[in-house]
Amino acid sequence: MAKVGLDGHDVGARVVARGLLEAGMEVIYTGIRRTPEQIARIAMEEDVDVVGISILSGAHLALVPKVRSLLDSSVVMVVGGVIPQEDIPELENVGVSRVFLSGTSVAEIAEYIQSAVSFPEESNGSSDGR
Amino acid sequence: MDLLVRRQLASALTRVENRSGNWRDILRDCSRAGSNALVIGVTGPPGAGKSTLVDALAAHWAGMGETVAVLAIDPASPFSGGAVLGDRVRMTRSEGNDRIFIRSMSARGHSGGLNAAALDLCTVMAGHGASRILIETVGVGQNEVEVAFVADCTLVVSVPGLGDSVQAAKAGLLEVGDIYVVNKGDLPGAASVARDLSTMLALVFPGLPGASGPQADRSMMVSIPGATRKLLSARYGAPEDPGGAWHPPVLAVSALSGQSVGELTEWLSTFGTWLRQSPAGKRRRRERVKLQLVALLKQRLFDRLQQDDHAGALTDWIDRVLSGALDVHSATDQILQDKGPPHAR
Repeated sequence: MAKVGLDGHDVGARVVARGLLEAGMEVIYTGIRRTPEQIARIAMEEDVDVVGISILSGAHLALVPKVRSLLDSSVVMVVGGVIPQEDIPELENVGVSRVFLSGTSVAEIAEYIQSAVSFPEESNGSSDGR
Repeated sequence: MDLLVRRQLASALTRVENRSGNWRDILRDCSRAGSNALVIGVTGPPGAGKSTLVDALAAHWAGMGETVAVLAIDPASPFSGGAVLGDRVRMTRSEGNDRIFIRSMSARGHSGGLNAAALDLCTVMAGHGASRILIETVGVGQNEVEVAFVADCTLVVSVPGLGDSVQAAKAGLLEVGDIYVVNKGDLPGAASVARDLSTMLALVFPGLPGASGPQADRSMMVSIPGATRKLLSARYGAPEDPGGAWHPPVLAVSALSGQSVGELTEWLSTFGTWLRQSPAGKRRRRERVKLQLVALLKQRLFDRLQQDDHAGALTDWIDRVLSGALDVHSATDQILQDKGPPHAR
């Protein structure tokens, strides 16, 4: 769960992180105002399955594609926050799997992530988001 | 640590933690590689500044040319099994440093402040070139002392404002530190917490903080019964040993400003030197292997028990205890009799 760019409002990110915890996932929170490079580095060191970007600043078209380009292609990327409808196709074009607008329930996000990530059988069936 | 090694390490840690894929091969190769990595366990109550201290130490060592790996553990939900891992948020000085690798980890239902795979993950980190490994435990209370038996050096972090001087006299966490840190040392009360801790330690350990030889002053010490003294000197050495006995120092530091962090790293290397010379170092390593074996045996035996009975593992036994037909100890006897020792089956 990452906050990118000059965006200091992270209540939403923390609420979603908490909700995903309740769904049995392990969520690494990056804290606010991270650069795309920092997020990519964290995603790599933590060997994550999914990167979720929470962005309310309006800079999503500049920052989200940059993060995506730095991530491993196997990593699923989802975006949430204040995103105008008409920007969604452009985000999906650069490889964002799903955009969640305000009003989305956390359950819906959890459900989507569970369907988008394949868990190896050896992992004892645990449904962590790592 | 170059990018390729960093990627390999990240993926190896996942497999070893999840016990998936070729995890046994990874562990075997990493154990064979051997290492001189010093493993430092950082423990203390929630909010004491463990992450910030780990960040400060990692950045300091990286600046001196060491390769540092950090394993930051946060608790898992007892209900869903999920976790929010937020230690990295406090590690901005280390993040992005080419000599530092940070990994967050959930305790995954393991009590005691660590994760059951923590030692294995340290082996993997050492096998990928880490010369210093920092394990940050979950925020602990008074009795989660497991890290003291996993790390080479245990750093117990305290802060002012958690209670009066009676806290310093209590058993548990405040007995296992090799070095005590009073963090937020710039706050009022830090000096008095440090003084309380030092006073208590002087009752138990001879001489001054650090390694002390046979000439060490023992006038402050209370008389300690033989059995306890034996356990203490197994862990901290005796004044007559090569290298002497270790008397844990107490330091007031400010992890945030970096004040006295340099002094702390000097104490850590003094401790490292003592540990290499003292027979206590060898005993600690032996004890660690023994604990690992016992933990693995317990787990395997339990897994076998469950496998045999499939879903109903202990249901019948639980019912019989609840109905008053058996007490739990007799039930345990009978389960073990039914199963027999593993080699007989």
